[in-house]
Amino acid sequence: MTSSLITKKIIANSIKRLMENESFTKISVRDIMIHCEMRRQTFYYHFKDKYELLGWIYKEETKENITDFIEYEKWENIFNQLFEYFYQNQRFYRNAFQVYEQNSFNQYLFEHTKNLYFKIINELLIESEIVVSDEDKDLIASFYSHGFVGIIKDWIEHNCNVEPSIMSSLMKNMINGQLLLSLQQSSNNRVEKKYEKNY
Amino acid sequence: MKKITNNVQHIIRDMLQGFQFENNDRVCYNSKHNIIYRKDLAQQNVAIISGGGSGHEPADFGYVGEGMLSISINGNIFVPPTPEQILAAIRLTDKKQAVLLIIKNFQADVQNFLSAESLAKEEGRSIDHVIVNDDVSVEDAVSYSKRKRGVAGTILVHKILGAAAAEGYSLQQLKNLGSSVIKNLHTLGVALSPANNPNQTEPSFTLNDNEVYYGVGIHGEKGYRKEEFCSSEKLAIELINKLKSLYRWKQGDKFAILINGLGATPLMEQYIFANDIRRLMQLENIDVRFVKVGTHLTSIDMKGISISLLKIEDPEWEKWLKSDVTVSSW
Repeated sequence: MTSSLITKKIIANSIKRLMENESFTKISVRDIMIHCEMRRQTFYYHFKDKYELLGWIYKEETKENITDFIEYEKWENIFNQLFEYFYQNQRFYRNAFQVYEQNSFNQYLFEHTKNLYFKIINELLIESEIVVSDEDKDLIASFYSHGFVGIIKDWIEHNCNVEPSIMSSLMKNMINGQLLLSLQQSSNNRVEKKYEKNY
Repeated sequence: MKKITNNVQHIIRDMLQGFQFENNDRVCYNSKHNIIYRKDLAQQNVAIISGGGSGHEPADFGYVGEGMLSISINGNIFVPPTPEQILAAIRLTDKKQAVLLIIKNFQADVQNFLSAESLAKEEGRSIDHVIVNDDVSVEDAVSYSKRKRGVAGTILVHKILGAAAAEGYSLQQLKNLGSSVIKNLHTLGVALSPANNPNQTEPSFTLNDNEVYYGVGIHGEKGYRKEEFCSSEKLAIELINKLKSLYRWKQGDKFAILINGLGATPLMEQYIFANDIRRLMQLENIDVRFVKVGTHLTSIDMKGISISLLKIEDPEWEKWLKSDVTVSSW
């Protein structure tokens, strides 16, 4: 039997629902498959174990919510959606962050957030007509993405006590103010370096 | 490129005559203006007229008949009918009959239909219009605003307004109903290969054999992303995720679905895609009240598929979607 992406999603949905009320360690493959009304064997056609399933959710859902929207939505709207998504799924994620054996969340969220920051940086550069080296772009995108992952995790761990729309506005303000400033500084440094070279 | 045509100049005429040959018991063909209309036109209180460029068959003539359209006006390939053609269609109705125009939101279409509408008003006719703008692909990569052209969802507008008109709705009621339906209607598609227009030597875009193009328009307007083809499931997930982001639906929301082949997509593939949509909507706990699968509004021989969702705000919409019609392509 070949694997089905939608079957994977159905199985993922079941573990997410179960993890809203139960710790990951207490949930068995049997529980998951009873919840989604499928045969236990079907699980193993799609995942090696529940750790792999958890990693798949991190990977798939961060990609679907960030990278897949890059050509479809303004980055401001992607942030709104992203905060809303984590807000809706906060109980699952709070529980999932306790699973130390599967900690690929940071890696995947970082990877896709960085794609988003590249989009933002490129748009800001075009708007402000400044030039920044690829190296600096990468560094700035990494810096902000690591910050974003940390912010998301803290926010979820603190029960998302700030409204998602407010969180999203904070991020947008930060981008419109400080990110642009970082880019301008990088651009100035570039000019200074060039200047030093010439003399 | 082999095409079952004769003289390219006569494509539209030849096609419409063929259609009338098949349906001569219930429709007439006006060869001067390329109009298909119901034989029993005079019996309707409000005549519903639609049309546009050809190349989108069976839209719109395939929906002329009891319970849907009264008249369809057919322009050249991807070119809307002229104001003269549209006015000629309006004049086929009795002066006492009201007329509602269903216009797809393309600049030239809107311009020509509204120009004909104002001429008809000068003749003292009672006439109004609705403009369908269900296309939610991306206009450009700067604003990311949605393109809002009129595409496959138009067929659901034809169906609902046609049924309501048959039930005796007035012109104003039909206009209001159309506006509410259109606000809740979104369409997004994916192309596997471009359309080959018999009037042009080159296809409207190029794709590698293994690629798909999300968000392509019905005249080959740019899509928003090309990527490697993986499976029908992947296409369904991509399109549903985008539609979900626009509707922000809640569990239990009621929807109607139109799955539409873009011209050269076999029904087998359309139903496989429909099955993927079924599973995804179930996962989202959406209450699907109506489903239609088939080739309805095409882009000549484009390979690909679109999905139109209509959020059902009023149970009457469901009733009208399900009511009987006598048309060739519903």
